[in-house]
Amino acid sequence: MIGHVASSGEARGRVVLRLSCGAPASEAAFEAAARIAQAFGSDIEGLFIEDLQLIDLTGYSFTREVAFNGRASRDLSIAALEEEFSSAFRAVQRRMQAVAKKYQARAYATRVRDEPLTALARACARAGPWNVIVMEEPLNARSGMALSDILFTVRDATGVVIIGPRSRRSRGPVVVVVEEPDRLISMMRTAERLAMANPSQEGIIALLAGNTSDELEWLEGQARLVLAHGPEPRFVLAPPARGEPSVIAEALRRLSAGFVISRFGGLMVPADDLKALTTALESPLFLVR
Amino acid sequence: MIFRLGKKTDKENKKSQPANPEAVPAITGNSQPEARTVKALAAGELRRTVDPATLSFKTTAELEPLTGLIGQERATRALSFGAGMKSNDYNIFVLGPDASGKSAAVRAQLSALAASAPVPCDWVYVNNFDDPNKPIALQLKSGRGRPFEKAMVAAVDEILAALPAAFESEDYQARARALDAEYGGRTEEQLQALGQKAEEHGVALLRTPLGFTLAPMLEGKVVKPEAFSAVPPSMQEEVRRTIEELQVELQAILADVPRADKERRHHLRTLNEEIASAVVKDALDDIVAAFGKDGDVLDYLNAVRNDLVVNAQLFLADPSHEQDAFTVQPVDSSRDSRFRRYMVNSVVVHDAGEAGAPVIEESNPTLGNVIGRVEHLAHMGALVTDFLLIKPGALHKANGGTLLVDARKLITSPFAWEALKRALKTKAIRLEQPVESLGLVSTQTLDPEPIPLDVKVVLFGDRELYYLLARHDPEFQELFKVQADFDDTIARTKENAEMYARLIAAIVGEFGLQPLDAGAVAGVIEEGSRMARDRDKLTIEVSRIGDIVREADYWAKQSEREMTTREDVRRAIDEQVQRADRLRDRDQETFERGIVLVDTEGRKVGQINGLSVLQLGTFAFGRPSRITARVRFGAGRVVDIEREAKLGGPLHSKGVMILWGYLAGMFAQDRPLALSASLVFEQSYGGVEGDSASSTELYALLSALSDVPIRQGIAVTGSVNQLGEVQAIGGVNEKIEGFFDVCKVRGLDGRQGVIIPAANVQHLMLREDVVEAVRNDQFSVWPVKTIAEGIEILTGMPAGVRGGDGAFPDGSVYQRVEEKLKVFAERAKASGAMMQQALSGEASS
Repeated sequence: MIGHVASSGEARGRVVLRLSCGAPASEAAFEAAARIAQAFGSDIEGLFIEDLQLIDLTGYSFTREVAFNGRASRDLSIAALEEEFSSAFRAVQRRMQAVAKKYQARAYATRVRDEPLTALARACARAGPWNVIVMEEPLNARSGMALSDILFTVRDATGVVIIGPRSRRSRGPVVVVVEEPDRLISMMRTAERLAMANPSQEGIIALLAGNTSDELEWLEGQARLVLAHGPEPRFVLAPPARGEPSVIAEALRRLSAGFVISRFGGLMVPADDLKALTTALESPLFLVR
Repeated sequence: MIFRLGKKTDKENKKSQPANPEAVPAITGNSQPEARTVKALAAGELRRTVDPATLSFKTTAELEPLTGLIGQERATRALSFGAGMKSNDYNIFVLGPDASGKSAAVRAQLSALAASAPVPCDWVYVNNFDDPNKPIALQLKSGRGRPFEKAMVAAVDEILAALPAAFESEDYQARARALDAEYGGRTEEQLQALGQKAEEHGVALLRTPLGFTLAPMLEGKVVKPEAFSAVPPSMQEEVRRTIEELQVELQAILADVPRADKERRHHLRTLNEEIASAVVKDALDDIVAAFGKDGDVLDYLNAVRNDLVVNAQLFLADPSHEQDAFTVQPVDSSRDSRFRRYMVNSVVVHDAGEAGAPVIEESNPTLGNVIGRVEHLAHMGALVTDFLLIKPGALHKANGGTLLVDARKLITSPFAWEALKRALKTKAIRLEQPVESLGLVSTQTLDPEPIPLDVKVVLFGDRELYYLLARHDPEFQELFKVQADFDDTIARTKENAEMYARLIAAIVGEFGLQPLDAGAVAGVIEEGSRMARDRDKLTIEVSRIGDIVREADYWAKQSEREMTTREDVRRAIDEQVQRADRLRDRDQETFERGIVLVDTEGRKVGQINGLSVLQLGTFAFGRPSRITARVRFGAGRVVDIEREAKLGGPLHSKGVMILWGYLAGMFAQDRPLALSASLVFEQSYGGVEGDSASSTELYALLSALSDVPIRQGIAVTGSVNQLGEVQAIGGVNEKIEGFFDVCKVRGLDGRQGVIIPAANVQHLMLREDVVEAVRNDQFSVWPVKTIAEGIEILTGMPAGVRGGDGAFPDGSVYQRVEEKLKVFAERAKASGAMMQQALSGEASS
């Protein structure tokens, strides 16, 4: 995982920004990818995936494309679709370069025609294993399952950064959800690098989630140890959310989190029903394996 | 003969022998004419000296340095009047010589007058939120411009800190989320519901780059068309119909998105404005309280408040995102390009403790420096500007006070003169870009609101320029009705001499020189008179006086004296002359080596020494020229060879024509003037101008007509009128000194000298060596009032006065002239009779 890079002080890894051929990517997604790339000295690969399913659609005579404003519709042809892909690809290329320049990160875009999950897996395998995937929150309701699929299928990714529809906040502290010792060091190191690379992150908050006070004290001690020579983190007790997305989202919002790092499938971010949480979150959510 | 020319004339006359070129012809006739007695000037009359003992001080250290003007009552009264007239057309033109110190003196006088005047208002330019190309000029009470500028910066700083906090507050976030949930979430939910419904019918809702589409789905994936064609037609038809129905629903949902979004944005804007209003009000309230009563400041602050509320996002954005701004230097809010529109450009501000009206001197009066300018910055290959780039001109700074400008520089600076006149006429400072009116540029520019103008403009220039403007520029006299005419010189009175000494003390103080003793001051005063070319005047060319004082100080220090003495002043003057007189030396050399022919001894008929002056910058010197006259019987004409050769100027020609009038009136009342005469300046190649040689030419003519030789040791200057009166000329000192130098080189014999007009005696300030030579009877200066007096000195013979019989006495010069003219007239008569006979003979035959 990218935390290894962070903990070992290496300047490697790659940020794969998933660019859907459907909805245009939000500014927050570009920004999140660039901030990580800046912190870790990584490249950004903008992966523009031309969904094969859409290509298949052009074989139907009765399917039509309804414009976003709902005022017009038209037959889908392969030529029209390819033109739309090309134009959308050029647009995201420009935006990505502009954001990368702002953060002084290297960026390039690739264009593949494939099934989205397969495309991601192949892209990460090309330059693994230290990949972080940045993607916007999927539209379908089974996002939790979809994310599980991603982490299962894309072996060469250390984590996924989810950008929800309200993830507009870029300022604010990096909030690390500390709930078990295994990933503590790498997650704290990741937070440290993110906070130090970008002053707008305004420090680190360790959100301690444990079952007993001993456990919490021990986690806090470990976290302090990790950042003994770095920025001093602020420690906050996690609310007894028990996986309730609205409670977690409210707690993070109150902390004005600019970036959230958490373990996928833990106490705070359970593996099921991620949709409710990502919809409510106001900052990017970095889920590590 | 009882003719006497002072103490030397008798001696000279005794020496006369007919065989000698200097011999005086024998006087014949019945009566002995009576000669006039013209005394040569005594040494004391040749230079007006100052006795150091008469001065009221020992050294300049005792004197209070002079500030202001000496003896310029007319000009100072004009200045006071002009400064006191509160009208835009009573501006002042100060006429006078350069380097007279008038600029400093005028400034001092006007500053004294301005000291009691009120301090003018401050003026600032601010953004016009309705039309940014037309910045607004705001008037504030004196001393409040800069605080206002700082208050606006502080307010922006406060908003910059408070506004993000307000927008991140719990209250705002909750209300914003509620709006998002209400409008944004509604569409999302509808699409989700539609997607779910479609899924239930085996249809997938998919996004495309430009919208949405629906397709048959099986196990979460789109069914390929080949597989779908294998499905029974009835089922295909059912799926097709379902998709068409879902498409209708999809269209309805999406069609509602813009309206919902519009509503959401409207509500969000209202919310943002509500939040921003509170912050902005807090930040501006103090400024309103402090400055709201100054002019239109309150209106401006209201406009600022509205703009801040509408553009609150400026304070939330990352400054580096402002790619459109043309300067990105977010060091502080005043330099942050996002907030330029809220800044204040203090065009004219006064310090709180400042007193009096301003007196501003513009040494480089270009258009921009006079009326101000709008500067531009290059941005992305284009020139852009805004109200903060308005730079004040001298008129802004002098508004409410006085502006001093050099007229020549102003007029020769393109567009500046016209712009100044326009500003004075319209009583407003309107920034103009002449290149725009000429269509030379097409970049963005501004049309700032004009600032009302109340200024007194004082132009400095010479008289020539004043009269040129008065003649050719009708607006000039309309706007500059007061002329403060500074004399080139002042009267040399005892009081003025004392003031002169204080002026010298001021120069000593200004340049940190050592003091001058009374003798040195006397020397400077005498030199002041020499520069004025008038013994009863003193020059006011302060810079030249300053040069002498400073150079005398140098020589005193070279001689290791702690006090500058008269000797040092003399040396300074001599060294100045020595540095400048290379050409004079060369000129003198031509006389010594006989290249230029000038006699300084003996007598000759029809030949005389005239005098002229050469001016080289500030240095002038005199030189003699030989003038000769030849006469013969002729048609009655004096030929001025200089004019014929186009080397004579109009004044010189006029002088020669006057001679004819004199001769005709004096000798040809009852007979024709059958004379043909020619006059020439020998070895003159550079042209002759002026009438100061007209008496000289007349003497030569009289000598030629009378056959009486002229003493060559005497040079003559002076103009003459038709009545034979000798009139004053210029450069008398240089002319006398020029001839003296030539004689000195050849050896002074006591008979040499110069005849000058008696009216010029008052101008004599001769060099000390000339005065010394006169004192030792080595050289003479004779003042004459008439030609008769002059011819008697030159010839040693009486000129002659008509007796009761109407004839000049025998042996007089005029008698001999008249005889010669009578002979010419008779010959003319005889030749006329012969011609008549010849003509009548022809007629009869």
